[in-house]
Amino acid sequence: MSSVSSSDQPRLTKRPLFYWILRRHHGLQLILLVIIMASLFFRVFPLEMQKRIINEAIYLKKVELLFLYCGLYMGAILLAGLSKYAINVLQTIIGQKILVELRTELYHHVLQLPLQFYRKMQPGTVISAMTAELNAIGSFLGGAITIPLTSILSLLVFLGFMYHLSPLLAMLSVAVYPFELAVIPLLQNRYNRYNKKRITTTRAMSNVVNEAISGLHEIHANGSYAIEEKRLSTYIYILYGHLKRLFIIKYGIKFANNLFQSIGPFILFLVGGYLAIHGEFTLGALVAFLSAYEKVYDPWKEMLEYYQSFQDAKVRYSQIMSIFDYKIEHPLLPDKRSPHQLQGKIELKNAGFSVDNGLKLLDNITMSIQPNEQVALVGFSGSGKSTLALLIAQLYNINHGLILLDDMDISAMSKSDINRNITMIAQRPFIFTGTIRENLLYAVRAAGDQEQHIPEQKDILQIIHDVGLTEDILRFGFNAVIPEERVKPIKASILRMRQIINSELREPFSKVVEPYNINGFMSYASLKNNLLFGESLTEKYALDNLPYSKDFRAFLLKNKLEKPLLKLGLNVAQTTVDLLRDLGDDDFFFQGSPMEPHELEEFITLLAAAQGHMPQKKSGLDRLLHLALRFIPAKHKITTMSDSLKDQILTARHDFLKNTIQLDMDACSRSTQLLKQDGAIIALPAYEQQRDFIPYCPSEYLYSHSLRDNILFGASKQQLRDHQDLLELALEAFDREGLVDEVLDLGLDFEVGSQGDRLSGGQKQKLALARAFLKESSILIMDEATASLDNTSQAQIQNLLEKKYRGKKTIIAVIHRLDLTPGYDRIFVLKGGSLIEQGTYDELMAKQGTFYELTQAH
Amino acid sequence: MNLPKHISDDCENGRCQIQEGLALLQKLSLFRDTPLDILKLYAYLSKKQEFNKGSRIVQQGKHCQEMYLIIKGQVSIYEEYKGKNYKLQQLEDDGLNYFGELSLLTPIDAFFSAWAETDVVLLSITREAFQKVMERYPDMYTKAVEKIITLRIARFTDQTRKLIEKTDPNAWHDSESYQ
Repeated sequence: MSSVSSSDQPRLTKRPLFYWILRRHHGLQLILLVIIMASLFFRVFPLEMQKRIINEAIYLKKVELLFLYCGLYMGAILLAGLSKYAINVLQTIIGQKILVELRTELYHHVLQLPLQFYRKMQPGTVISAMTAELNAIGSFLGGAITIPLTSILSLLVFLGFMYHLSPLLAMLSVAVYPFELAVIPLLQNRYNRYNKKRITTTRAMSNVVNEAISGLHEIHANGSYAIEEKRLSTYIYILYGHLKRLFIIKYGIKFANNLFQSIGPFILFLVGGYLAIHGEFTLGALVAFLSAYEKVYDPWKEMLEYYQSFQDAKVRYSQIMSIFDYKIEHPLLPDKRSPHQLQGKIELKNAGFSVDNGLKLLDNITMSIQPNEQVALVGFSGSGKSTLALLIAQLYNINHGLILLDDMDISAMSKSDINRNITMIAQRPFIFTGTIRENLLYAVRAAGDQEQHIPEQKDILQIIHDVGLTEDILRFGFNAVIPEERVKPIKASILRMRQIINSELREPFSKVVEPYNINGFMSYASLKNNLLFGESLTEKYALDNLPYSKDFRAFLLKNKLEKPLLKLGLNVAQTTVDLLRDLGDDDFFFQGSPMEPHELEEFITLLAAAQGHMPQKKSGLDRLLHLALRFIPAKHKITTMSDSLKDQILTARHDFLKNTIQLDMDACSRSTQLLKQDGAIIALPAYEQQRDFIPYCPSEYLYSHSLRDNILFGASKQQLRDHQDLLELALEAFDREGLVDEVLDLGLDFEVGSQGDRLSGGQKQKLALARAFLKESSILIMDEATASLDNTSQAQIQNLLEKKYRGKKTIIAVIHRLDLTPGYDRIFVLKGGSLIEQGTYDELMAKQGTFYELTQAH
Repeated sequence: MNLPKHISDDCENGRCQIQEGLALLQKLSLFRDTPLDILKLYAYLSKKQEFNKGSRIVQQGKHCQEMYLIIKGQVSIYEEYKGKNYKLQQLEDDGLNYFGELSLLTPIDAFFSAWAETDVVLLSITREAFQKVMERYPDMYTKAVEKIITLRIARFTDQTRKLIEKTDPNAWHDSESYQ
């Protein structure tokens, strides 16, 4: 939106509503006008035909004329309908286009409003104004010019036609209009009043809801539901009152309209009928006149409605514009020069800042910071140190004195002068919905391509390492379920990692994983996985569908497995119900059974009905089979299965893979062997055609599983996250072969959730630090930017500032923890909004003044 | 590809692992007065763990989350003191021995190390399992705690006496101050 400059146009919030309508889309509006004129003709023409059909065709009994006139009549009606349709469509398009511009420019303005503005403004008001309130205006905008124009023109045309038929009747039929002109504006004025109140109340309501949702944890923690409900219900009732009155008036207007409309025909029938009886008026003319009257009332009604919606839109528009009517202090771009490239010198001369009520937050601050100097701002809470940081970042504007950056007045600088040179890290940084990568590159992308290149992958990974996020991002990467198209380019790397785990690290990892083996029963895999030894990408072999699949049941029968599995299911059900009957409310007790706590009731009923025997109903048997297929021998202690059943399952597996899937069993078998010995992994060429089934063979990627599961490649014995040593062992091995970056790259695509709520506080803070470091600026302002990190991470960041960024950036750090201050070149001590001490750490300690006292208090 | 068959076919009709565990738990003096319903739950929630000869089962100073019951093999209990390991006790499977039982009551760091002297099979019960079961039988909790502590005191006494026997009698020269 850089095309929107402020010089040649009135300030956005001061523009009248019609500014938006008249300024743009002249071409479209002209086309619309032409269609309207045409449509007028098509609307009057049928009236003339009506008259001729009666007076000429019927009266003179000429059939060919009747056909001609009827045809023309119908044709005109059709064209009138079509043009009306075109008018509606065009009108909406124009209206919505205008709305797009209005909304875009308004949002542009809203984003630039200074922080001070939002100290008083509730988010709910802004949201309500930007969304629903603007929508309501949109429907008005499209027809703003054309509706009145159409209405007036058609009114005149129809009146003219009527006048042509009978001047007397024409005068009589419009006699009621002046009354309406008097009554309706009166009602409308009252409507407008309530409409304004409604908007104010709706905004207040959105603010209450917005605040409640933002502070939901506090509400839950305090159980303050009643308080919050009461707060909102006050507004609900006020709104009810306004809306009630609003609609009473609205329908009052409607009633008045309808009343006036029906007075017309009454007069016409009375006078017109009288005239027709006395032969002073033809019947055809009377019919045409009545039609014309009906038609003439439409544009009249439209005009009245237009008047109402115009009033409504005007009220809404002024309500929206008035809240955002605030001057933007700094232009986005500098006037007739490119943005400054600052060295990083900062000077304050008698700088002061006070809020509206005159309270001085900062008073008479004079200080000077040299380029590349690293300084700390310290002081008690409320001493003004954060405010000072905000002033230097031009986020607040000073009221007194001067702030100079490289000897230039900050108040004369544009936003881009500041953005290019100053990076600010807030105490509670904001993380946007999106991926880690998007958040990392947020500041860089905002700077635009003319200023800074998008950093290379290795720079991003370096920064992530610097702030100590590598481990977290690796974890995100390992946990990711990767989409097929992203697997392809890195499949070789993933298979390599799988091989490292299964050969070199096989022994230590045997603690957490039981490797897939086509020729062995797997104690840590479910019976379903033992049977099918793979999974379908479609639902075909999904667990929930298997008991009902005819093919699968036939396969079980063929392998004589149905009975033993049902028996096992029954056994599991009986034992679980027997042991855990009263413990259904705690997941913990169900760790040793394939039954889920929520299924307990169902199985209790099922078993009670079967009275200790195998159930008779098919549905019951299906449930038992479902249970048996979920059974994991090594995890589910609830029962023990025999080795002969295990053998039977293994035989059935081979039957399935060979005959149903037509898998190259030899290849898979050899591949499994080679995986163990660190040999080459053999692909399964024959299998590639049957993409809906993926067997647990070493060459296959399991798309429905996480990267971690794919690398471990086996049934899980224990959670890997409980074995930090194994994780480190694996990473070390992967790192040797340069495989870790692939995982990090995947981790960068982790979705952080709304406002980063899937990240911990520390992760958010580190992400914000990395984001700031990636942006190369000469001045870095940190407002307690490491406060939510643990001591080790805090020290790591401090070390980074002192080593990596020494001599490269001017750093201003607002800090609370005084043990970090020795690393800074100079320390400024604030108290009650005044600068009371400054100097190096040693100087201030030697002086034994306020700073010394502060350190002693800690 | 055929797995060696053993007698576990008998378990086909149920509860084998649980029954096995239950039989072991019932022999423990620790659980002598515990009702069968509770013991069944312990047996169900317990886990069989295997350790190779010479491997460490519990590390002194590390978080200890479970109690172990020796099913097979020998386990030695060591105390590390000033960089040296002192063997306090050797536990055999014949007496149905156990260790780590204090961790059932409270989260503690192990105050001893346990090593597998032979290949060892253990049955473990976690504190979480113990606490979850006790939540269901709150009136049994006090009894269980008393039992654990009583047996613990007996074990301490036993260990202390063994230590005294091993020590040079002159080491206790300041005996007057111990009443």
